[in-house]
Amino acid sequence: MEKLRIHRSRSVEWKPSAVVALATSADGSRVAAAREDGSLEIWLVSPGSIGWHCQLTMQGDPSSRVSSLLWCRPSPRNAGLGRLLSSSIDGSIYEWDLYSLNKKVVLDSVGVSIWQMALEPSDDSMHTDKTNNEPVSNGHSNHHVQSDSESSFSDNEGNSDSDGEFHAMTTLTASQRLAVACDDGCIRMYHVFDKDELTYNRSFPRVSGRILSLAWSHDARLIFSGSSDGLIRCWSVASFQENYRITVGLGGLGSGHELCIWSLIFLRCGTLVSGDSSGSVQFWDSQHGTLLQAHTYHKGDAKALTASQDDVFSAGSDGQVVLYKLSKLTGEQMVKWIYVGYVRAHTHDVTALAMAKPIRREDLFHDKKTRKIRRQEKPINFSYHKWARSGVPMLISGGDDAKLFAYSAKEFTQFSPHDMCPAPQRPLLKLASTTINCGVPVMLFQSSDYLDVLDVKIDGKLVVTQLLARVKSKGSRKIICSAISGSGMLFAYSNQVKPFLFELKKPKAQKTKWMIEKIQLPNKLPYAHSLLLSADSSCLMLAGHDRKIYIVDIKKSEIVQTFVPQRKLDRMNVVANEPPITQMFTSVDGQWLAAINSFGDIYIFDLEIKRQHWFVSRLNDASVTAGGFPPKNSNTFVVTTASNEIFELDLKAKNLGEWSKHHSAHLPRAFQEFPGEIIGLSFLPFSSSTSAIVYSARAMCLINFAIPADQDMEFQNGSDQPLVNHDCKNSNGAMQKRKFQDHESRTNGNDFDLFVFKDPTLFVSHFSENSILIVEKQWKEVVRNFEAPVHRHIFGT
Amino acid sequence: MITGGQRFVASPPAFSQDGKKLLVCTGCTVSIFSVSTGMQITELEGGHTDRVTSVVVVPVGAPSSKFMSYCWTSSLDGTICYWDFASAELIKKVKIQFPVHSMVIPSLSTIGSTEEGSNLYAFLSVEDINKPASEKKALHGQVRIYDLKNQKPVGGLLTETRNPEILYASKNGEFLGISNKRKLHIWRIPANNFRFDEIKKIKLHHTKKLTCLAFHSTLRMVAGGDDTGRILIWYNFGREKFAQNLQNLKGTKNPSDEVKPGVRNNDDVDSCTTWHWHPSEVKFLHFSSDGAYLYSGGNEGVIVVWQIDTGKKKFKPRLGSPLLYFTESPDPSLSCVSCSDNHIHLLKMPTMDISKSISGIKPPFSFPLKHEGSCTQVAFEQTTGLVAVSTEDYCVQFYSLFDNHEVSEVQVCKRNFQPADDVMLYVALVAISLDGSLMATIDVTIPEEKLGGLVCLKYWTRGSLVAEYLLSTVIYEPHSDAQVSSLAFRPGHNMAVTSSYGGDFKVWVHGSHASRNNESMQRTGWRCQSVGSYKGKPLTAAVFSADGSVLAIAAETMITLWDPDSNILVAMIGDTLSPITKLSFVGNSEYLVSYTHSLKPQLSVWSTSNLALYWSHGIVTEAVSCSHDESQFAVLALLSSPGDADAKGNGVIFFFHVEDPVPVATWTVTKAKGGSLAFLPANPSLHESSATNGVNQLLLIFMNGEHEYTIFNPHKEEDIISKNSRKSQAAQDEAERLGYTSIYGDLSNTNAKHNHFQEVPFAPSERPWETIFSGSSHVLPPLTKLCTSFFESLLEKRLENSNEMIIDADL
Repeated sequence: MEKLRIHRSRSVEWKPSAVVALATSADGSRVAAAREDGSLEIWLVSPGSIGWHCQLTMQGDPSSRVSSLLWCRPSPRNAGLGRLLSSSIDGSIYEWDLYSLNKKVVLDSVGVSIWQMALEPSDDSMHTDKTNNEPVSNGHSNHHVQSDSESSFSDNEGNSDSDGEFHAMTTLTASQRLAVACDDGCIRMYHVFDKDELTYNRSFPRVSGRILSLAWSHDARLIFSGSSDGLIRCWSVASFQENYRITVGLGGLGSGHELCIWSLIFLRCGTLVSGDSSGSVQFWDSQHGTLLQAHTYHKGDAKALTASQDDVFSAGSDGQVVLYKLSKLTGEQMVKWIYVGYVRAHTHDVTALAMAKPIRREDLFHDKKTRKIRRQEKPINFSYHKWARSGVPMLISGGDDAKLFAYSAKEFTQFSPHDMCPAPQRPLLKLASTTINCGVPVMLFQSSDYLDVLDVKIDGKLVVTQLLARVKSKGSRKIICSAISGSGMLFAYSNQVKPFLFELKKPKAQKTKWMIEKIQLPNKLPYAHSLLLSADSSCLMLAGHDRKIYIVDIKKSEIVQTFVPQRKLDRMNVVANEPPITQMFTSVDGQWLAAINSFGDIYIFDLEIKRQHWFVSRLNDASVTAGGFPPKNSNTFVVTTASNEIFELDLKAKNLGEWSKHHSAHLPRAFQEFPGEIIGLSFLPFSSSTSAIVYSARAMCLINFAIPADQDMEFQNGSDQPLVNHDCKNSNGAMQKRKFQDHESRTNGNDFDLFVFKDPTLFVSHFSENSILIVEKQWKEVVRNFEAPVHRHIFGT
Repeated sequence: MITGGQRFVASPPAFSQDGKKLLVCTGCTVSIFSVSTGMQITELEGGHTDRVTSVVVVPVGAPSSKFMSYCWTSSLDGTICYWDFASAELIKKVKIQFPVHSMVIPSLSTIGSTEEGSNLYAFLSVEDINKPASEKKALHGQVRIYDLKNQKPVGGLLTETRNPEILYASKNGEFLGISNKRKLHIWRIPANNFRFDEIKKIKLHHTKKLTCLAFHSTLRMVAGGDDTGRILIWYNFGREKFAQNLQNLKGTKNPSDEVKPGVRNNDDVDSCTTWHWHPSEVKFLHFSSDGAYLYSGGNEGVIVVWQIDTGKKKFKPRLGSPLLYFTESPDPSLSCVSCSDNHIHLLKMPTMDISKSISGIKPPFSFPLKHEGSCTQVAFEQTTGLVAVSTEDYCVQFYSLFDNHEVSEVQVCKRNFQPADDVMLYVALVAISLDGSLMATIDVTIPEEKLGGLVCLKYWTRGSLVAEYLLSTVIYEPHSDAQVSSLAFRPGHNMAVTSSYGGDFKVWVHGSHASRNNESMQRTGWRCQSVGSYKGKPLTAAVFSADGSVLAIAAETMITLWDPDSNILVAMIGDTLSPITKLSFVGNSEYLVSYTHSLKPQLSVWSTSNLALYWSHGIVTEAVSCSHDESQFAVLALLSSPGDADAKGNGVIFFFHVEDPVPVATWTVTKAKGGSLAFLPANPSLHESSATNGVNQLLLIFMNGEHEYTIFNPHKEEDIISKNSRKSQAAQDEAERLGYTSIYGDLSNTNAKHNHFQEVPFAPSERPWETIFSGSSHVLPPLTKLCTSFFESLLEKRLENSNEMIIDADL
């Protein structure tokens, strides 16, 4: 059909930061991941999707490092996901509001570092979990009569002690008690209400050493604390007194050097599990405080623990995730925790573990017979052996190598883990074909606290990027969003205080030097979640954190128009209460503005008549990952969703486009199994061709909207045979890709041609009519920026 | 005829029931060693005609039968024998027809089952000889059941495998298993008098080839080792399949719902744990008798002790060679490990210290390629009947041929041997002078990327003990960087010659030379006396004549004769077809034997008086040995040409008289490749009768490629050397220690201490109280001693004036 030249650039800087904490929401479907730079990500599996998808990214303060994350249970009055709290090293507790995308302090600093938070388990016996009909299987030393009836994933590491209770949609108590482990040896107890700040209840007696880990017993009568002097203390919640203490050091080795109890979990069977800095994972009888079993398989600290049914997972700074299983041996009446095996997916320390259950939603879609998620995803060879049903628990691990991995919790050793984010904290890139720089395209590179403007030259086969300008954010605040005009002359960014607009100028006198001039913006503008410059560079569109969209005339430096996105178009007096807009797209002719909120709802504004034109609620309940207007046909809007579906919207008709009507429900399976979530869409800038490139960090695919999807490629749901065919096809594609790397042109006569990338790709864009630019970076080089992992002894060295 | 040098480690050994004897399969016989001394007590012979593959000791049933010592042995000759090994008597012989590769008798493990009425079923791993060996894919291995009591086979085949596999039984005899490629087959054997169809089987799958397995002693747990070094432990195997009856099954949950972490193919186990420490194949696994530990070993020569509950490891390193088997004795403080260097180490158990070693002759090792030509591994020390074998761990082992045990070991290179490493250093040549007082060795360091190669010539002198050699001189690079082709001592002189492929030979003499500065410093050592070469040709062999007057050097195809003292070329003898591999003078005669090893093999006899070829044969010669006084020599010839790939290694020993190209006698031998020959004088101390009656009392020794040897008299058809002449090395059993002494040893004799104090000299005087307490405190006897003498002296006094003394005592 056409020939494509591929240009690759690897010269971008990319420094993802480590995952420090994970927490699962109460229903188990969402996982919050806090990174070392203070940012927070929400990961979920979109319905119908097969991979994990980063729904939200919130920038935080890099100076206050998150020490633990906790997702409260939703209260009856305030249904939803519940409050997401994070404790920080500076001693304060923040709440992350996922609806308004901001972060507020709910507890001012207590003066000492907080190491961990633990939420009181619900002892609510009235609500029986639907999934709990199966008999209790881990009946080991059931001396605590379990009045509560929790789901099978009852136990989780203190990151989110409550995440096990998937059923816990309602609790009768108005407040939940939160225990906070403090650096000064004190456990402080707070009440968490639906809103507002935490209220202080009282403190436990102060003990020596730092308290590093906490666990509640399941009847909420006991709290176990692990401290830096190698002791586990058992406290009575009623009397605030110490019941007993356990010396953790194996064989009396605890004395002398400091032994840190990094994590504690309490299992439903009444067993307490501890992970400490000697790498031991020990199982204790919680009634007597006696050792049941000790395993030392970690070569570094055992940092995190989590449990699912009879399985306990531990993760250590040696990058291993180890599975222990309760086993009842015939011939003896005793039960034992046996070591089953390990998986080492991370190259660096594993710092957090969480158990999640991807989808709880019933299948709503008639034509998709069995909505499945892929448990195992192998990016290159496409050999999917096993398909997992929704609701199957998965183990998530995050580590110092900035990666998140998902494991099958049930068949842990059988399948290799799935790399959830091949390109963590991907820097955002935008390309503008300039008029000022002699037609040489300019690329805008958004890093966490600076913006780079680079020009992109093609020197034969090489892509040479040269830094033209760098704008640092004031006070090194995090940049939330940025934009560059189509001409490349203007670029804008917003941090958490206010937006800024700059103009790139080349003074006549100097030939090489570029000048940046700041353009004044109206004072009233709030800081933005999304920015956009119109195609003719005349106005700036800004989606503010106050949930309004402002159109700013740049020349006049005034606000021309303010839109309030709304669901119902006929309402006159509007209050801005829709979720904040996180993505905006505008058509080339300047007529349409598409604004997309964080949940995937699309608001279409007609800029000519200056009012909202259409509201599209989230497509198949999935959030939007990328979108765009084809250059020639401004009346269609193309979006891709997190469930790897692609939709063409006809704006005039306020309906799905022709192509989408026919094919969106029948996308080839190969496309739905697209490796990684789709992160971008690129149209040919000039030609009238209707094809687009859709890409993820791992692969890209060319879609022609003019040609109907090939009938041969069309798959029948439910039968495995087409999948096999596609396997062959895709491997062919992978082979041809190798040729492709040598800049050989390739003719594709088919729709949905898949090219698999070798390295994580950050950005793909059309360069000219028949060439595309790929910005990628070898993960090996990214890893070089990290601190060295804990030394592992390899045999023979 | 004496045979010896058998492999002790071809099959796992077995302990006797009292743990005091170790039964080791040695070729066609079973040797019984004393655990306390490590020496051989007796040998079970006459039962088997082929290699014995397994020994099963009948356990002691009742206390009355405590001194019964019976065992079953199986062999490749297709028979199973029943022995009383205390008296070394064959009791019963059962014919199986198939070569038995492994045998277990699980019902023996359950005590009391040896009583009458119950059957004695042996489970045999046999080789199906009906299938032609050419069919590579055919299933040659079979597992069969045989009723030993009624001497008939039971049922059909349990399974068929590609090759016969080793059978493992659990300690209580309930389970039986083999490893078959990537699977484990496990059978549950019902207790007494079962029917064949009651035996149930499960399979456990893995992704790698499994090499060994072990059953836990009490729990239903099985461990398997694979060829990548992983150890897999399956818990609760066969819970469904081996359930006693079907009613039990109904109570259990549907198996498909259960989570079975680590388990493949939905095998009938609860879970599976993987441990990985060994970098290469696991050779043995063994659960300790209390079930708390798992022992594993492999090529690295390290026993790893795994604590099963925690997975913690302890190591017993530095065993020095790849490990093969681990056997536990009924005595919990004793076990043994078999190493592939033909040693069995007896281990004191909790600490795993080596208490004794049963050391056989070390097996040959393979030289690195392209160094093979110039190596001899074996030298004979003819006066004492020892053989010196260069070993893989840079040693020379001296082995007594007549006594069949190791005498000593001389470490040639000061370097630790790691069994898993590549060969970087080896002992290439060993030579011992005729009287045994001198030894010379050549060790070669292989260059690594053309750096660091070194040839080292070492001279050793005999110490005070038999086969104890002390290093006297080290000569680095005797022929610069050229390989040394041969090394020979001059009979009757302190002189040696080395020849090299670099084209020169050196004559070395032992002498003292004074250092220039300090004449009182007399240093003795070996130095080079003279250097010679012949037309720059590589010198391939060198030898002195029996009287030491002539030095013969082979310069490829030419033989040159030199005067060793003046280093003058005396004569040349002309041309063979290809370079000469070895030269030898025939006794005192003027004849010289040479053979060549290339594509045109040739055995030639040269006359030094005529300087011409006397006669020759076109046979592939592996070794030549000449007697020192007579004009006779023996030749070991291979039946296949050197280029022949599938040479079976069968050979012929020809016994020639030098005058006659027709051999006097011939013997066919097996495994001749790499073998060697030597004439030894009959040891007069051992063979007094034979020494008296004749002159020709030379014995010929043939050592085959696996270092098994045979000593025989080449002149006589019948064996005059009988084994009875060997002195009995049966150890005196020390008195059995019981109770306290078995743990802590004998108490030190406290009575002796008392006696010692009795002997403390002190002078009894008339007035002992005046002197008895004088002197410094540390020389004084203890107060208790002094008191008695003091009071005794007082008692004597009382006879004289009793009243005074009473007052004194009161004071």
